[in-house]
Amino acid sequence: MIIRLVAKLIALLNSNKRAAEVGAAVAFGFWIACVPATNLLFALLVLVVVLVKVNLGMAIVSSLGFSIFISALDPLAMRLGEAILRSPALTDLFTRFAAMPIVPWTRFNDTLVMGTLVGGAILFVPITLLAAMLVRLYRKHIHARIANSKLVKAFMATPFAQKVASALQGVRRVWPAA
Amino acid sequence: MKTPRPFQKPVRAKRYERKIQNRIYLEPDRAFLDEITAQTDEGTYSLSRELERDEAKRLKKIVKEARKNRGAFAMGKVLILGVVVVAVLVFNLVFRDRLVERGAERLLESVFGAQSDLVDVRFRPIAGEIAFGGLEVADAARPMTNLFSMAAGRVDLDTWQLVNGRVVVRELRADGISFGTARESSGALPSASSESDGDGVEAQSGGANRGLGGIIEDDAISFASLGLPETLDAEAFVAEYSDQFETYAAVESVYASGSGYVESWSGEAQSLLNAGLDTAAEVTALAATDFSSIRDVETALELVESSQELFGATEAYVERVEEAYDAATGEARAILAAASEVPDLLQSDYQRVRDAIPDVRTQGTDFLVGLIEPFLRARLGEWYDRILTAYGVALRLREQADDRPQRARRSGDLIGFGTPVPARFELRNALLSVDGRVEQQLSIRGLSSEPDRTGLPTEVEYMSDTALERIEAVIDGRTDAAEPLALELSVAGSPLALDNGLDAVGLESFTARADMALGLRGSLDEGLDGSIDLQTRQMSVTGEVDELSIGGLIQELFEQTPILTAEFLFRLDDGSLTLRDGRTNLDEGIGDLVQDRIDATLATFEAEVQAELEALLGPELDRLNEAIAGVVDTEGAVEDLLLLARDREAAAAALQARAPNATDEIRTALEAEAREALDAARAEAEEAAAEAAAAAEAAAREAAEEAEAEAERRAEEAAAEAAEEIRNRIRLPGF
Repeated sequence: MIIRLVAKLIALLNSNKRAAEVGAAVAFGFWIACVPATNLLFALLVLVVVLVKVNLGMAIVSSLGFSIFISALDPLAMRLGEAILRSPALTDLFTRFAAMPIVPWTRFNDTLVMGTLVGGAILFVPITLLAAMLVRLYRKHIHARIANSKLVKAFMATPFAQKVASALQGVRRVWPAA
Repeated sequence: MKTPRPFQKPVRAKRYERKIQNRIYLEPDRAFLDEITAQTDEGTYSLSRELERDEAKRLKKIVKEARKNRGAFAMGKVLILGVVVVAVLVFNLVFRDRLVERGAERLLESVFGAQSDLVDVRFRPIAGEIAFGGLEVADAARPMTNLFSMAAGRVDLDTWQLVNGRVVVRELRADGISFGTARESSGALPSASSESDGDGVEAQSGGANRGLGGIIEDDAISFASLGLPETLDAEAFVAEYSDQFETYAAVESVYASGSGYVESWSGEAQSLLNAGLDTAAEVTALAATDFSSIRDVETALELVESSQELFGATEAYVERVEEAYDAATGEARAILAAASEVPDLLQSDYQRVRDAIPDVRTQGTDFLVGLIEPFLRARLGEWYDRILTAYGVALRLREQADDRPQRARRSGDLIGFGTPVPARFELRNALLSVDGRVEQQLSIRGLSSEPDRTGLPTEVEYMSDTALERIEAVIDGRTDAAEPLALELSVAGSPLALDNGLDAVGLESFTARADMALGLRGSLDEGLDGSIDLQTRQMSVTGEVDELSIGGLIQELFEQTPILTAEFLFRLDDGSLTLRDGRTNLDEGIGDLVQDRIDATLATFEAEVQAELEALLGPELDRLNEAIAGVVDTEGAVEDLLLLARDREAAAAALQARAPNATDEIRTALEAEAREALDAARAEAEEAAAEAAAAAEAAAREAAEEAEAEAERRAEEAAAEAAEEIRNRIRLPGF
């Protein structure tokens, strides 16, 4: 399963998938990693990731990757959330939200939830663009070098790589040497 | 191999770029496309050559990937989600009423702790309305009885709050409500049934049962409750206290001691008497001896010895009699002393019985109150049960109120926005009525699982036109509530009937019409203070009783009194009712009459008790007298013996005094006789010597002289021996 996932991700980086999709998956992964799990917003985010056309595997992997260090950003997110929640201009809006059904389930009045929600939204586009740009760069300049390197060729000749290649036929097309 | 679809015929340049070229991002694939396609003059793209099998296969994959690279949503997943949502909605639509029915039943069961059954439920989510055709909620304390049931009802709900997990009933209207109807099957919940072996029932019912025993502990009228003795039967009354009598034990002790004394000392006295008679006979015989007739020494000496022995025996006898007298006298005094305490003990026992007769002037002031109290306890018990049931419901609602949000593992600070959040359960307004002939209404306002959140107390109002009954209660469950419970109950013209316990006073039943006003304030945890104003009229007492008995007094009292008003103050604390004060309008006026009648009854009773005591203790006193008489007789007999013994001792002493005198006389006579014999012998010897001298002067002189000497020697020796013998024989000890 893991091998298959890794193979898929490798294949994804050098596939005809839109770079923006991969970038968005990374951005969603970051966003999901940011938002605390026990609220309705988290569930909505996951639902969006499932429904929109982004690579689910990349989103999961990036979410797991970001979650390792994301808590280091919590103080920053809490300050941001508190600033938003205590903003006089938004008080009426939040008061109405609090009175609405279901909305309180999002725990929007939690400074960390609000901070990560807004912070994730703000960083969504930059991360998407950055990740997409990196994917394009990889596809255009790096992939060929790596694929043609002796080290990779030697590695791809190993039984492990063969196993990976057989597990995912698409890899063969991307990696002719395999 | 078949050429992929876009390239089966020429494609317009714009379409080719938009659908294929712009959706392929790998340079090798883009180069491959450029290689196999060519743009015509008309601006269309088409394959530039015939593709080989591998090329056609690669082109097909490229086209497929290009198709996938369009749109923002994964339509397949969206479609699946849509199907799932639709399925849930259809399921909800089809089974909605059943789901709501089960949900409502679960809610009611958790609140009332007993089985709840709803029928014909119709739920309109948009309107927020639930209608039902019937509802039965079992009584947790009595599973075969319904706490209440309704024929039909309608509930106006806040649907959005229902989605939020809160049950906010804006209005509840129900008709055909009835209380305490019988059930065909047990209404106990399975969990409650399994817990009923232990403390589960109380836990389920919220402690609803805790007060029943305490309040309706004794609804019978008893003499004690009226401040009277438990019985007016003197014999039974005395028998009730006879175990405490000390006279019985004392008389028994004296009787046993006296009997033993008579038995033991009668034998001893007889033995002493016999011994005394023997001694007396001996003394009498000795005294009858004629000392002057005794002519020889041996007889005299024997007499002396006999008198000495008799004197010693008499002395020993007297000593024995004196010892017996001292012992018998000591024992008799002890018995008599114990007997002398019996009258005091008898008086003490009598006083004890007398003290047990209540003084109605001090203890019987609650006479009328005591008569009415059982009725009030029964009525209060009913209402206390209902209050406890309501309290149990409130407790269960509070248990469900703990909806604090769970703290997430990663969490920031929660900012409040002051929007009031409804309680977990809230019944804002309920109107329940009983249709048909009897018009009754129960309205509830502001019932909530979290009164602090709603900021309102619960108001309950019950009205019954038929029973002219009205209840207004305010249950304030807020934390800072000054008065958690305030209840006002008024009942007009309620039938009052007492038929339990009146037989103690010889009556069968007591009936009346009563107006009652009950006030109850406080908290169930810290106790409730209450007051009752009671007004009864049309009082009637049935029963065949003696006119002069207490039952007759009660009968006369109530039948002649038009209106009886009574005021009671009481306290309900942890299920027990304590009557603090009670007074009636008849206390002063009729009180004296009651007192006189009771005094007369008790005076008779007291006399009967005294007679009964005397009858009971009389035989014991007779036994005591008998024992004491025996002691006295025995003591007299021993005393007579002592006198007799002392008399005989005096006689023996006199005899002993006479014996030495007699021996002196005998000695003197014997000495005189000896002297005479000596003189006679001397004269005889002198005569013989003169005769011998005369016969043979020379020859006989010597012989005469020898004979004379011999005769003289012999006479002297005989005299000396005789004198010595006499002396020795008549010598008495000490002489």
